[in-house]
Amino acid sequence: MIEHAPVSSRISSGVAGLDELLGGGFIPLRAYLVRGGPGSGKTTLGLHFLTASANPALFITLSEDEASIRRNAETLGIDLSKVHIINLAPDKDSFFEEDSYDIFSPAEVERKPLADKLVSGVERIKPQRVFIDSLTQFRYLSADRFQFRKQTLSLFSYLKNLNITTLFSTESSAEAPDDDLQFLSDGIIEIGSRSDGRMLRITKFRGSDFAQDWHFFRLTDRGWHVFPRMRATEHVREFQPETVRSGVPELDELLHGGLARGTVTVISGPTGVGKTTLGLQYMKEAAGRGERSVIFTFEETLGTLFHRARAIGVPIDAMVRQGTLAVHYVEPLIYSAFEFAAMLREEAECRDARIVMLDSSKGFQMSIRGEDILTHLHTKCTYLKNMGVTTILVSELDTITGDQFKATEVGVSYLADTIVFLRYMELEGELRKAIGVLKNRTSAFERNLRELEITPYGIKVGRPLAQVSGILTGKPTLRRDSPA
Amino acid sequence: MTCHQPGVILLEPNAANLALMRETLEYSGFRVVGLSAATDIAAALTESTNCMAALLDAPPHEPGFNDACSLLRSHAIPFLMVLPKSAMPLARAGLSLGARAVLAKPLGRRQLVTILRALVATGP
Repeated sequence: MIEHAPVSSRISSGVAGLDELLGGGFIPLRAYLVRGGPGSGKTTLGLHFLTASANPALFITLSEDEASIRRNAETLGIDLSKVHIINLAPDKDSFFEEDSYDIFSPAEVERKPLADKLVSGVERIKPQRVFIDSLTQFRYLSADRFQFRKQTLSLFSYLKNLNITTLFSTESSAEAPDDDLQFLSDGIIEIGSRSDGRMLRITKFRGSDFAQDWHFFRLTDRGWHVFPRMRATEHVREFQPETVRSGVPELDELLHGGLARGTVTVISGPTGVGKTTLGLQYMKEAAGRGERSVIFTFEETLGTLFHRARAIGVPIDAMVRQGTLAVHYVEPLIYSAFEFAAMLREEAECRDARIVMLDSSKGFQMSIRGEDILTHLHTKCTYLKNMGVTTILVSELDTITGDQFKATEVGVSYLADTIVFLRYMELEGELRKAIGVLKNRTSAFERNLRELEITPYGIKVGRPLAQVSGILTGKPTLRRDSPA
Repeated sequence: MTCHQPGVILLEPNAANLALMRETLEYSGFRVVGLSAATDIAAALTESTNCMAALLDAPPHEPGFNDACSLLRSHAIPFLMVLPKSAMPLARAGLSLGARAVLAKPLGRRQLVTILRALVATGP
């Protein structure tokens, strides 16, 4: 049975999201491999690792010179003042040497001086963290694969005995694969890429559980930002079951009180029928209770949304100013689903958001770029439920009216605890709106449809439309014995 | 360094190679007479004493190479040739000029020292 190192004994990788994937960070006094192609961010991760603690740290470079390492770190805002650099790369004069030797192999000539320089540096600096960039260069200084393996094991053992945790990079290629180093390392962080961005995964971590699968990360002007794949079941928060009212009595009557805290409500309907407005109504009411709500809008720009909110009497500017509302425009082709998940977590865990509206499921579908929307939505909705957040998912239907009633457009109805649908209806040549409830898992609900109006003073929900039939078939008819 | 140390003539046009071999051989107790051209061998044999072996890192078609080999033979100094792996077809030419053996680059330091010690111990 594997004994897992407790989180308290872990050391940070220097990247919060990566620590989360590692179950709290690296286990100390071991050697970890970061592997990936050129420009994948290996060296930057090394910089984060070295500066994650205040103790002396050592960067052993076999490729980039010290000046450019320090310059690059500075541009990323990484302070290398406590990081020593030993440069084992060839100096600039090597290029201009008239004769380069060929009488002995590089392993005969270069290895010992480099090893001496490395050892003297380590013993002088006494670091607790070492980053070697890259260990592949040592391969060319070994007579054969066996010697390389032996020397690498010896190096790891030497560093471990000096209480050093090591991160090292490799440059794997068909000519020089790094399979042997993968076997020798205690853990492996593999960097890859997809058309929509950089990805990483942990493929090995001796003595520890770790989050498998690929995870998204960005290399920004502040270095690494890792966005772990969301696992809803890992996040649970105790919360008080309660009813979330809209502040519109007739609307609350439809739901026999309101929405339930920690549930998912799908508001479906054709374009312009008032789905976002309906969601805003719940947020306006929540703001009155001092609760924070968040809108993630995937399609509508902030300017349009704010303008629309003001036009129906939602004090959106004041709500944002007071912190009872946040509006995030998630541009689908810029943000990935992983980053969106991080934004959700930030709002739920750090800012105590109580209501989250995703507007809309179609826009969200664009942001996940071809991946299965149900998988992503399921994870995010489950997470929000576990955290006691009331979720409103706006689902836009393509059809304005018609005889084929559809609850939602992209098959998200199974995620919903509650489905509220809005429809247009044409009554005697006039286009009007209706609202109804199709499903409510947490309580009974009114079976009648009601008329919905959006006025400059907000939402107005009428009496039950008992005299109108055929709304869902797209052919409403008004019984003549009563006024509409 | 004293003249009691066995002397080794190194014909090595590559300065980097010469420096490395000098360091290796002097560390192992040899006295090194380094030359960059085959035509310098005559002068070296005149000026240096106790030269007991030679190592020629040059192809047999190098100007003055034949004469250098003749001189070494006439002084009863055993010599080795060193060639890049890609030039090993020229080994036969070197052997016909009197080389005891033709070694392919890169050499191992220990291997080189061992061979030269054996050569010096065996004598002409």
